[in-house]
Amino acid sequence: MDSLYNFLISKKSENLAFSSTIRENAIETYKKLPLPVKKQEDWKYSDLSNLFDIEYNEVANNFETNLFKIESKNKLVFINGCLKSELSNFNNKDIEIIPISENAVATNLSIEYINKSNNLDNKFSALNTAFANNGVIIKFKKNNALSEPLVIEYINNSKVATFENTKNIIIAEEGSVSEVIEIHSNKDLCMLTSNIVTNIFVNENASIDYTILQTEKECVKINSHYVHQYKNSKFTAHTFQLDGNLIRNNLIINHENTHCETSLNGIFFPIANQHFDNFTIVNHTNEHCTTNENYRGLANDSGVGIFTGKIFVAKGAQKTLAQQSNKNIVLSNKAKIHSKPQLEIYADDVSCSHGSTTGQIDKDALFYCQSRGISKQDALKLLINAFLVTNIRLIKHKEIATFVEEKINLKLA
Amino acid sequence: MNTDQDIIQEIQNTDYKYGFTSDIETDIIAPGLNEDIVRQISKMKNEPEFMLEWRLKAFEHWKTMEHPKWANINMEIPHFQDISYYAQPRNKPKYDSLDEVDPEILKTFQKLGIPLEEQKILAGVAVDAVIDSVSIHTSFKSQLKEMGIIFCSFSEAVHEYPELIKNYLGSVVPYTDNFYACLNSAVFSDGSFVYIPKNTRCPMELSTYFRINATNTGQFERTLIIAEEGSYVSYLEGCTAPMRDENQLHAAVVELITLNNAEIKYSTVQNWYPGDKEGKGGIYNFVTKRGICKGNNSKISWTQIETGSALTWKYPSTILKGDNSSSEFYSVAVTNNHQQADTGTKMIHIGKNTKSTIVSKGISLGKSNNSYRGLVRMAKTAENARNFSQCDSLLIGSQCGAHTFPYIDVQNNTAIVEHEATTSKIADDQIFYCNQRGISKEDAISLIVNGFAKEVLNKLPMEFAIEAQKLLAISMEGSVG
Repeated sequence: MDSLYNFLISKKSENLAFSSTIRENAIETYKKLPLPVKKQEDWKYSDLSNLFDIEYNEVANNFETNLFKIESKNKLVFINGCLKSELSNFNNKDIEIIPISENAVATNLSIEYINKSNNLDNKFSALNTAFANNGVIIKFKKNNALSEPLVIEYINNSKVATFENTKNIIIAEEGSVSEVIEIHSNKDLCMLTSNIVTNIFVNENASIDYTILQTEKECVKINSHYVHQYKNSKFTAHTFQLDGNLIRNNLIINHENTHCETSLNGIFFPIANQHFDNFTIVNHTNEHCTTNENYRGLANDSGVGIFTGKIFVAKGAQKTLAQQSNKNIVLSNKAKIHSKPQLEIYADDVSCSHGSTTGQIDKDALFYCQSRGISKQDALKLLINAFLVTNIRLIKHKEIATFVEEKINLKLA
Repeated sequence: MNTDQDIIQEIQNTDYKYGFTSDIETDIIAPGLNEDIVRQISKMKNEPEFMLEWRLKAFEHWKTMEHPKWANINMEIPHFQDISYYAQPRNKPKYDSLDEVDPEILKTFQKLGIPLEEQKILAGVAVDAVIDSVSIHTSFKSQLKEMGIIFCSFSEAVHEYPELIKNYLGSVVPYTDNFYACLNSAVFSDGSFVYIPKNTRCPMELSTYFRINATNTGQFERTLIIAEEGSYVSYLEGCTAPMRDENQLHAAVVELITLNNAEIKYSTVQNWYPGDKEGKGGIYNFVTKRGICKGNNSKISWTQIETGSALTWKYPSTILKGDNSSSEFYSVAVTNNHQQADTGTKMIHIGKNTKSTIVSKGISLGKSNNSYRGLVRMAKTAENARNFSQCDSLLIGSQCGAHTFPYIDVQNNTAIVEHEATTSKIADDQIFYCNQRGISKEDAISLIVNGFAKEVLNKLPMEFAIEAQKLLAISMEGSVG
């Protein structure tokens, strides 16, 4: 087997929530699944097969401060993929948290959630199911609106090459309203490859507003979210890929019942040698569901930005409304943008559309600004901010919006 | 008034109008595929040594290839050893006048509505008719010859213009390109060859009718069109095939080359047997069509109407190499019953200021699936390149599918790429609007579908536009007139 597998199998695992049958099955599946190479359609633009051949080592988890912080009473901190309870706190009234090292049955958790979190669709997810030894199960209580957002911080500082599997499960109980902010940030170069899988269950009439903010130094990250939406539920995701080295975000939405509403909002901006890959699938398997997807991409230097968005409408999923838009700006001659919006439709009474454009800054607009005494650099910032404004306006938190704007301006300089 | 269900039912019950078999005696090589068969084909066609070498190289390579899996298509991989790779009418066609042609063949053409004589006079079309694999009749050849235009069958070109063939064969679609192009390179039977000399405008539309006739015979055509500097040609390709129960394989290769300031317009109407209502039978159509705008300011435009075949797998593509070169792709694909189509285009921009336009319309009925798959690539060198793509799909009936898979790769900060796609059914308010004005539901659907495809139909040469409309009508009969 590959060296990654050998490394993981040698590590001790403390995951009691997932039965040994599930995990052994995941190992078998892992062995059968193909490597993520360019020939695999889903990995066409990101060949990650080399991650399986690196010699990995174990690492100590020391705390280090992160780059960007949001004050909240509800906070979970993961250092190098491992939950640090001394740094975490949360309000028991709103949230219940169970580490996955505890037996799920003993904690009265419906086994259905565990079974549905048995993700095996690619090599990384199978690996995660088999070897995840970190992570928590988070429950947002029934008919309760969260007073402050739940902040999940992922801080990595490993100086040796290592690989961590983290698996989180978020359950929004019926009628709950919540907000989650996932922050990936660290100050220094980091040798950790993290493979994070989050399963999110949005139950009947519940709603989650989910922000993923990625702003970290040199790191390799495979960040997957599997969202299961039930009747009348609402899920909104904001993804901001601002810094990192090699990032692959998988966002897979399943509509398990009717009248689901999904909004996916994203910005990616690779510069230097950054490689940012966004992979989204929305499975419309039921009637009367709505999807709104809107991604904007910028690429400078030798950066590579990728958007793959698939909307799948199954037979019988009538009255589906799905809209997908991906607009990109290439700022340098070495930068690359790959855009692959897809519609796969097997029902007739639907209204689906997608649009994708890739271009550059309008020279006339730039000239217009310059002729009015605005420097070229400022004019560029102005136009890029205008290009991104619809996405930034969707952000609920002013702090995050300001941070995203500042970060982009900094990268443009 | 008919309900939707009635109309859909009626469409599905329409039989294939052009399904008949002409009894022409044909010479067929025994089924199978090995080096000897390749040698035999080459020998029967009396080919020069270089062609045989090329075929054998292709065959060697083909043996190392695997059947591709990526298309959005459900199919059984053909049994390549059960196919006969060459068939030709026994009466070796060397006619001076039409009277000498087997009357059965003439009858077939008449049923298809391509009376050679009439077309010669009325439409001014030179027809290079291909039945099974050998050219039967080439008209207007002498007139074209005077202008220096070469329009002949591929096997003739191999003998008479070996230098041109050596130079250009496989230069756009190398035999290593893909599984079916490679197979074609090894066993291709015949096809058309067109050469337009410098600064010449071909005075008429050149056209070829392909037809698959003998049971279990793969049709492996090869077309090569070369437009020298400053020349222009419009080429039409039309297809119909009789009913058969087994799946027949068709894997053609088309290569277009335009030099400085030249233009090629390539139009296709494809109406091969799509199989019956249960999806039994029908043609497998795996075609590699590719053009290269080699010279500056050159242009290639593709127009296609796809209504037939059980499986269509086809991406007419253009490599825009010359500066300021441009390309267009206009397509209407209609699928009914159990038909499956995975079609689209590739536009590869290499030269500066290159432009491409893609307009693709898919109409799905019955239990069919219709996919658009396209690639637009802007290379680093493609400064100020521009692309616009539009893919619209119309769904009629709740059991069919319409899919869009565009691939957009931009490696350049001066290029602009736009893509948009929509999928929907005919809106109730559109039909209601027509009903209000006294137009019946059937006529309303017809009106809307015609309007939907108009943008593409308008791009066809006159002679073809009429046939294309007829084909659309047949494909959707019952609701569309």
